[in-house]
Amino acid sequence: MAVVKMENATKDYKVGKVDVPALRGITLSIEKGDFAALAGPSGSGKTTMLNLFGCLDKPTGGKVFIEEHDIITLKPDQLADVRNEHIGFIFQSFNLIPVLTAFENVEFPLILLKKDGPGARKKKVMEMLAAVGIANLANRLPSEMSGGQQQRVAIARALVKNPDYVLADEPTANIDTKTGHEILDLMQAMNKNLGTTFIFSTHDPKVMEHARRLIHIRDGQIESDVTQAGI
Amino acid sequence: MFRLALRNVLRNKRRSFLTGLSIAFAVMMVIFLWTFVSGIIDNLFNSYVTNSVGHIRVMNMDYLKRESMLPLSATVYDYQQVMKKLEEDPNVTLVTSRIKFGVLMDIRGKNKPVLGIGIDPARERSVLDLQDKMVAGRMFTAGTSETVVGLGLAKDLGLKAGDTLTVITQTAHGSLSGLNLKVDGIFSLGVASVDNRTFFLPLGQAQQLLDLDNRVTEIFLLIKDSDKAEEVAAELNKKLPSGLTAVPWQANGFLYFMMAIVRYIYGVIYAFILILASFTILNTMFMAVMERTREIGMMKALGMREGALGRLIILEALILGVLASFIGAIGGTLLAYYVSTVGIDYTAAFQQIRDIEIPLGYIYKGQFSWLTIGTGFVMGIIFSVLASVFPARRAAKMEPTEAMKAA
Repeated sequence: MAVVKMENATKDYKVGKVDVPALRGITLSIEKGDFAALAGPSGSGKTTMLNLFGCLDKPTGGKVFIEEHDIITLKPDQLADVRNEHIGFIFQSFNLIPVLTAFENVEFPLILLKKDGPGARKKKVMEMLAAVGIANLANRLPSEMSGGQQQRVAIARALVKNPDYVLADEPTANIDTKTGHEILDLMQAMNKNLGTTFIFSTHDPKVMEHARRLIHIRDGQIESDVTQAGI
Repeated sequence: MFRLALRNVLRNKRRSFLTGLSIAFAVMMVIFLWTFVSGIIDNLFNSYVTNSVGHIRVMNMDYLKRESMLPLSATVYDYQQVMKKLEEDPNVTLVTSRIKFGVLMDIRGKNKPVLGIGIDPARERSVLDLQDKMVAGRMFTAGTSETVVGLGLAKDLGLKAGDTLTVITQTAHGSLSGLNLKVDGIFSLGVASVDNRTFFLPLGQAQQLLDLDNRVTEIFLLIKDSDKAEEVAAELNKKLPSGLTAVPWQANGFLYFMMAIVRYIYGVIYAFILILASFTILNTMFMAVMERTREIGMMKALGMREGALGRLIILEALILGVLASFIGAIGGTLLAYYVSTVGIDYTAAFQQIRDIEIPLGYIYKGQFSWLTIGTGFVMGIIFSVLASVFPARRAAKMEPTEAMKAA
């Protein structure tokens, strides 16, 4: 079952008076449980695709469906609600809220979701912090944690609301290789144990090796879409 | 949400502190100025009312036309009958009568105009209350040939209690008349224009001096609600004998100007002070929003709605506004308390300008009012919140993808 799909999606950016195409007609379906990497050089259109998958942007042409919602038709608040309910985000530079502790950062999306009371929220947050291996750092501020630890908080924040899929934009770009591997292992474990769908972008061949499904993008088009055996 | 807003306020402590300081200072200044100006206006109003215009005065129509000349030819006849009639009106709380007349006196070789006022000392107890305003000697009683002299005038004339004041003036019929009055005491009403050029004498003595049997120059009224003076005067005019008119205090252009226009002008000044202070909030919130562009983009990406994000920024301004206004209100309360109990002494200034015509006291005192303090506090908060609306809108409308690109 597809959690998100694109049908002939195009995206143009205006640079001065010229329309520069970033995506040139992409048709792609991400299935539940996928662990998919969008690979390609800088400027190939990876981030644009992630933005469309993340309801952060709308396509210039074609369609993007999330849970059968055509995102073209949604208003800003409806898009915010779709992001809130269906999508988890992990950013390259962690993007934690600096004045909130690890616990509070992970709790933040649950507060926006308004489904759980404080007790239920606390239980979910502590379980998720334990799952990413930093339950002991719950009361630390981001500035008191290493890059790897902050990215674990970001993963916990993305997963705590049990989203349909998680988008990760170059999740290992800002951390050292060893920690990067640990983060990828953690994401894989979450994919396996919780069945969470992951879509991440990368241009690092080592990271691509971890992906079960590898989608190569070049010049705004899909170059190849392969399932890698043995992962 | 509150916790996040509070921590955001504390994120840049020095900037929040300085912003808060400017709001607190503005609130404090507004409370202080408001208290002080209300006090001056109140003081001015009371001075004008008790010394000169009353809430309403009943006069001969011709007298009203030429009041600055103090014309003794246009007076109120059978004044006791008229007073009785006025006392019957339920709005009227006090009726007394006065005779004002001009005298030229030799002060250091120069002829200076001095004002003599004949009064009923018993009735004036609750108006001028000279008994409690003597700085030397005592107040006279009715029916005696005695006088009390203003402090400034007594100094000019070299008079002290026990001396004799000789008054020579024209009577109502134009002939010369004179009277020796024993100076019982020296008074200070705390109003330069009165203290420097006025003496009081019993009404009967004034009538005798000026040949004004059964006549006074004006009947002075206080009423229950001074704001209704115009309506009450209109009612009284229907009952008065022909030739007489009831004049409300509002007919005094200067006083009316002070009461109505000056309050309005100061209202604009208070708003201006607060607007200036709210620019610092505007600036601070804008800086906070711009600094946190990435973070705001991320919060929107996580699914925070535009409204919620706008409310977060406004809540931050509200927290800062409440804290700063509270501190400003405490400072303002202390200043207001000081200025309304101790006051600011302008005696030295008035000695420079002795002939000032405006009846203001030597010591200005503010009018302490919790309403003023509460209003200052609330206005500080309202202006803080209003100033944050624009930055909040800016934050709410940010595109998450654009915002997250920001370095």
